[in-house]
Amino acid sequence: MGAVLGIAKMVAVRLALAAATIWAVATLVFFGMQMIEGSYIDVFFPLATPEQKAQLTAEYGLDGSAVQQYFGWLRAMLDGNFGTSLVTKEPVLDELVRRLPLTLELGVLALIIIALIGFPLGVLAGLKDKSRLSQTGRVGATVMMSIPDFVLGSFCVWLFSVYGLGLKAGGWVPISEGLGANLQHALLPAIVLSLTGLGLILATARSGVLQVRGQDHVLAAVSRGLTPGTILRRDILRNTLIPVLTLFAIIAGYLLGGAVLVETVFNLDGVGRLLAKSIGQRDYPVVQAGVILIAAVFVLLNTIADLLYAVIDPRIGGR
Amino acid sequence: MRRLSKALGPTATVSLGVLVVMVLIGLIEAFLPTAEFKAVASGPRRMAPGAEYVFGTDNLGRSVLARVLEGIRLTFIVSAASVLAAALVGATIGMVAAYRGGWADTAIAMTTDVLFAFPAMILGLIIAAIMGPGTLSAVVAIFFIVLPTMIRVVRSATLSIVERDFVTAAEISGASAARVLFVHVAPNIAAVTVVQMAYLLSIGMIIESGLSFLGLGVQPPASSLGALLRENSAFLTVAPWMVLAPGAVLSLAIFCVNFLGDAARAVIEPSHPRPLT
Repeated sequence: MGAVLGIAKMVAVRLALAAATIWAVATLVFFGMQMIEGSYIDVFFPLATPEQKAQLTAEYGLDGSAVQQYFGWLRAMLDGNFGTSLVTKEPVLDELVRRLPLTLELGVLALIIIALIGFPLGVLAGLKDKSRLSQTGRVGATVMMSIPDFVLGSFCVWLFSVYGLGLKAGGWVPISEGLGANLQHALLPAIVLSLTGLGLILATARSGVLQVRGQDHVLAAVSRGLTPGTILRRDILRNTLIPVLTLFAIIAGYLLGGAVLVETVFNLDGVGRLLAKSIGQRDYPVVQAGVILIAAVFVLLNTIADLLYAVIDPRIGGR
Repeated sequence: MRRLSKALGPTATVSLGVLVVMVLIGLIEAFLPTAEFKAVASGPRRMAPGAEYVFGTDNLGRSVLARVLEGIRLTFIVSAASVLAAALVGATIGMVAAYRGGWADTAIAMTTDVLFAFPAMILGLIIAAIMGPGTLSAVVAIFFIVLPTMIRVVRSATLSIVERDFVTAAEISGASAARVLFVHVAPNIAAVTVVQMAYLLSIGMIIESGLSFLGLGVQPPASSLGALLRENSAFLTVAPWMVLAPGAVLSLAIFCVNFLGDAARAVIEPSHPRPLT
């Protein structure tokens, strides 16, 4: 009973903390964007007279003090109104929601690739210490973490668009129009997006296994004559899983940022590319809402990971 | 020299050599006879790599090699300057936090936690959004991205030093807090700080080139490797060398920094041969 209450309390605290973080980001971004030199009007209507500029400012709702705008903006957001894009004149929420499935699909595919390929390879490299495989794993992980997403992306776009190797580099077909066609377009950007995370998981799983292997409980299990399969499952994998899980939350956040670059390279119309484009165009409403959306997704992922720990490792819940 | 290469291992020694050459090129690029190859229409347009133009030429007939050499400089300057600034500020904050303890330590820990909560590229985008696109926003972005790591590393290194006898002896003999930290503690955490800077430099280079590639970092006519990739990316399918050559040089530089960091850590922390960062 006490444990259940403890967990309920921890969930409540974590959720409150998550909400506070998202609010802090929103506030920071709002006042940060207020400090930008040269307003939207100056950038888009550089030839307008001061009177015309004043009129345009009122028209776009950019008048009033920063504090007034801030509270108006917060209230509107709580009502689900994220404003209107200054560039396309469409509701910001529509613009973001329309692009979200693409970005999420890329992220999920990349996570699946990382989990299915990076983790087993890392464990294998850790088990076969001092072998050529292990050394290749170490250098390979560093190589993967050293090639920027957009460099590998550019290479793949060139390779696959010039030589037509089956997968499509650029363009998008939603899942609703057939999984095969969808994957044909999604796989290449997802692989590029997964590379850094793949390297990170490989290195972490490898060093995790290396560390656990030398510990007393593994040696004891060996001396008791347990089969290698049992030792791997019972003693090694379970203890490697916790650092790897932490890393997954970090990687998920990294993928959100990486998506900006990958979507730009592959010319995909996702949330990331919209955000980068909007920063360049000073489309404040889209930038503010986009940053808040990404921060919210990331904070929620971290909260879930923290709560998962408490379930896996009872010692953490007790604190 | 031989001892250094033995301690680092062959790959890291080659990495060090490549980096030294790149940094030297960056430093003396202004004095190299590359200006004539960077001039518009100085050569044939979009010529494939060959004996005359090792990396080929771009759409305006400029040598891609000459432009890559120019880009290397800003790539290194922007990321190294930001990381250096973050290292100095972060090391000071980290030492003070560990030495003082109490509420200052708690406040600093909370601030780094908040900064840590954001994935590097997202933090970079937020800062670019706030400051507007430009080289300065890339510098500030890298600074804030690497700062929390620096604070944490230095803080934990300092904690293990301040309990040692020589620090107590200095305190008893009446040394001020500043003297204790900068004369007695700082030399003992220098090695950890420098190794950490290698990793942070590679992160800085990735962030700088990423922001510049998105058009949010270094702006033309200035050029870094990331900005060069952005400028040339329209010609990817017709003249791939314009994009792939600077991309390969950039990746090679980041790899060398990473690998050198690995090797240096293995030397100073033999018990921790495989870093996780």
